[in-house]
Amino acid sequence: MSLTSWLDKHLWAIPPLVFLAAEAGLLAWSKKSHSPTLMASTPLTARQQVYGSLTGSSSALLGLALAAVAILAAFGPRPDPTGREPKLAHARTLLVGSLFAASFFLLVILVDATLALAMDARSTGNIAIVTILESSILASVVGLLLGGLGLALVIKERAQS
Amino acid sequence: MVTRQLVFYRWTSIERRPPFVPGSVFSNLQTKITRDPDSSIVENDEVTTATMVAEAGSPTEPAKVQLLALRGPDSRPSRWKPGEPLGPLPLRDDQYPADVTHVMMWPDGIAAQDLHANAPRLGRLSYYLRHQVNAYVAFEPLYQADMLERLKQLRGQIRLVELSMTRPEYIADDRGAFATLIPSVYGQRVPSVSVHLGMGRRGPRDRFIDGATEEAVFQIAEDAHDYVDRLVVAGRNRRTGKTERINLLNERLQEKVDVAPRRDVPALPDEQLVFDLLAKSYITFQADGQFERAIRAQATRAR
Repeated sequence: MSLTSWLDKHLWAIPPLVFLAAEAGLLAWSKKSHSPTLMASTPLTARQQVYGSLTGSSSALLGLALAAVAILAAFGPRPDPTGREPKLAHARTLLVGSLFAASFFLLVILVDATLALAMDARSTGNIAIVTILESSILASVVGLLLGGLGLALVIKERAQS
Repeated sequence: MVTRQLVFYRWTSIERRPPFVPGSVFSNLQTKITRDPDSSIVENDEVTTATMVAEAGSPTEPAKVQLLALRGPDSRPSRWKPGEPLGPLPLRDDQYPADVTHVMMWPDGIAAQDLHANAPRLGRLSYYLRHQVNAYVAFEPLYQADMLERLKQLRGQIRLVELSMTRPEYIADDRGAFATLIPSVYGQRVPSVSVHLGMGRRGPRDRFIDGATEEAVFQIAEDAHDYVDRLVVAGRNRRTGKTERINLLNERLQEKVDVAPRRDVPALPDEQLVFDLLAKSYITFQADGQFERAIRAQATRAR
């Protein structure tokens, strides 16, 4: 089984893998450069504004992701003599997995950004808080894009049938 | 009447594997199936196969087997009536729509089957026996004796090759989210290949397909005959100088017959009649010395 085929069958695993890869990359970059990188290098006031913005946007996106899960759950199996419906129902369940994984990372962003508002008050950003935040952003964006693309295909398939 | 093509093959044991003895293998298979009928089915990701052993055979008598290509609950066809929507076929999960071919294997290395559009090929019987009774056998088609001579006349002067394969039943069932959703929206991609190689009608008449391609075509005739729906080569005959077309699949050692159908299933030929006709063709071909003269697929390759 190829990697893409495996990932297609385990969509929930993509956001965590993206998170781990991004976290490892960012930590390695930070260690190699010996100076703050990306958000950690920005001034405190700008960083605090970003944290505040992220708490709002992540909670909004969390609601959006859970709404997409609700839409997919509402597409119950139809009576279908061709035998395609069980496979489509299984595909929808896989998409829900991707959206749940994205929701988890949106939750991480929400908690991390909220903690950062209170704790990250130095001139350079806290490396742990910042890298977790950046990696979670990347993971949730990937998960949401996959879930969104899948949802679009589900709706199109429904419209055609 | 039901029309069938009786096609002959040569069966051989596989190197570094125990010798294939039809009587013993089918006897073991018959015992296993009698003990547990459910074990007669071999299922993989792509196809479901079963057999019914009519006669296991002996060192002097041929084995007679019905080879079945089954369709499981996920791949069975639907029922339809004009004016009504499609509906499911009224079958239980342990019942299968089946396409059947009758196979006979003689102890002297000859095998035959009644071929039709939906008949499972003998490659499937090899796979089945390997998984059921750990017995290894290979089947090679036999070609008419004069085909090699005609092919030799074309060698090095082939101007056209047509080849096609379509296998809708080999679409994998266990697929991921996007591999399911994208085909359901934009259409299913059936595994198929159609190749047309030619030098063009307006090009120079002395331009031919190169040797490596020619060799690859004959390799397909040898190794992939079970999967090819059409394999035609055309070229200039060295002796006559005229263009000649050879459809390799029509050049097999075969005989077309009409068989009386079964009373209860009109689409199926009477099994005993098919076995009798296979045996009769075998005796006729043997008496004519056709098996000695017939060409095995490897002979088509230059080596």
